[in-house]
Amino acid sequence: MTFAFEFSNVQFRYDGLSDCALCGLTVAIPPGEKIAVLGRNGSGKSTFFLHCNGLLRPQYGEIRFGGKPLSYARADLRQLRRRVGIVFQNPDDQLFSASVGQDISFGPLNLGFSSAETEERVRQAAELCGVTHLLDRPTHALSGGEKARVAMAGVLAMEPSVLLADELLSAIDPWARLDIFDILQTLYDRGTTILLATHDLSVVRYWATYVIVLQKGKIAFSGTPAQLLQNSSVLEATELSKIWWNVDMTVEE
Amino acid sequence: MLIDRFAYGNRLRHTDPALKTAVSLAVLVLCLVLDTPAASLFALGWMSLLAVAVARVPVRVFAGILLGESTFLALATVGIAVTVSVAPPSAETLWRGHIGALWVFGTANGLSVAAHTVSRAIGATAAMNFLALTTPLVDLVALMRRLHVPDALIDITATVYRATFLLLDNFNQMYTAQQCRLGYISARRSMQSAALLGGNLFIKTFQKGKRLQLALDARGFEGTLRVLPAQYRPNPVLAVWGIIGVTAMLGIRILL
Ligand SMILES: Nc1ncnc2c1ncn2[C@@H]1O[C@H](COP(=O)(O)OP(=O)(O)O)[C@@H](O)[C@H]1O
Ligand SMILES: [Mg+2]
Repeated sequence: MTFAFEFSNVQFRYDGLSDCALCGLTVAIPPGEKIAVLGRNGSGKSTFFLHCNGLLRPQYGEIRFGGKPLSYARADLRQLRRRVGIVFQNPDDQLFSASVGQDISFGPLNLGFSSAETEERVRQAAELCGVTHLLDRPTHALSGGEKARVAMAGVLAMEPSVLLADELLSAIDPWARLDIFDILQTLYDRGTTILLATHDLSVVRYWATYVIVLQKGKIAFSGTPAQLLQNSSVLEATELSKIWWNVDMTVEE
Repeated sequence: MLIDRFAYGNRLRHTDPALKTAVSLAVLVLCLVLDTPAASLFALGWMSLLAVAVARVPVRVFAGILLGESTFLALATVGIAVTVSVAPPSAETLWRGHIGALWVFGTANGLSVAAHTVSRAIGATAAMNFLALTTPLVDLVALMRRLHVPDALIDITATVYRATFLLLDNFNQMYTAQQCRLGYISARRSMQSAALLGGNLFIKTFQKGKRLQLALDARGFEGTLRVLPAQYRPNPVLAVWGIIGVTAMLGIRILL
């Protein structure tokens, strides 16, 4: 199998900080899965995502995408960003245009699509994310759930084969979450690899087909949800057992 | 922001911004160039009429904004109409008086200059308000792009606009958080809280800017913020109204 991503011993430290954010991270991400990325605040989830898209470069170690080492040449980065999309934790960091439709058109235009092709992609992405009626609205006049969906549409208009969603669920209400999960399911059915950073363990139990757990910049676990649920030593070591109280632990095979 | 809400919600939202800009710029320039109080006052009425009757901006909103601006104008013109000096007035004055050792007086010339200035400014302001209340900045930016204004200038305009809202959001959040913890309970605490807020606002906004840059890069940003232009409908009615207004202003100037 060719993995979507392979990280081997990746290390990264932010300027001016003594502790590493990624401290020898080694993991292989299988393609076409719904992957939950767990880990406490500061465990390195966002930093990991930024590396997947080439926004940060490892200071040590190697990253492979689709079996090939990442290249940071301009043209290669463009190809990478076309195939790997990130929806950021806070949609306000991502929406920059004054109108929703224009914001969604930004990615495809950067990829060099014509106006006509871009319009078509904006239309499709907006429909997929249920924001067609908002296309004309200013981006600052949206609810939290709407902002999240618009931010997603902006990324999906580039039609990535891997979607990274960073704690997308934290700021929105449970109904808005359902909308997001509908969108993610459609993408999954189309073969998109999805990585969702989350603190919601029911996501692991009921949604994910694969789980990775980060702890202090390293991988503490990677495997299927069933494997995680049955591995009490990992659950103890990562302190996941402490917060697992509201999720049904029984595993059906 | 109030202005933005109407810019997005008015009846001229889908009219080509070039037309709206042309009408409001033509009126503005005529107010400045003709320098005829009657023509300027006509412009004030005409632009208000366009905003209220054609674009359907509520009268109260248009009047409210204009009133706010007029207050500033009035204060500025008092300075022109009224002269304050230590020496007694040498020329003929309309009225005079003194406060302590200072002479305060107004001349016919000063009054006329003030009248010209006020009417000019108020007509021009009404024209600008019409544009601001009917045209969202997105459209103006798209227009700038059509007119081949340099990309850098356009990007700065668009980013500042967006940043203004982020800044306001941040400000509101932090201000509320401080208020909740009684940050403004006394004059002393208010000063300290405001200073803290100012400092943090800068840092937070700077960090936000950095995150925005990352997000732009993630979507393949390579130097220019390119987005699709909006679709507009032709609006002959506004064109006709515009022409009538401009003709009327010229007519007033010729007749008077
Ligand atoms: N922009 C940044 N500058 C400096 N340090 C950072 C920055 N972003 C994250 N860090 C640090 O890197 C570590 C990992 O953070 P992050 O990847 O954001 O974790 P997570 O997303 O799991 O909360 C943390 O210790 C955090 O303080
Ligand atoms: Mg994070």
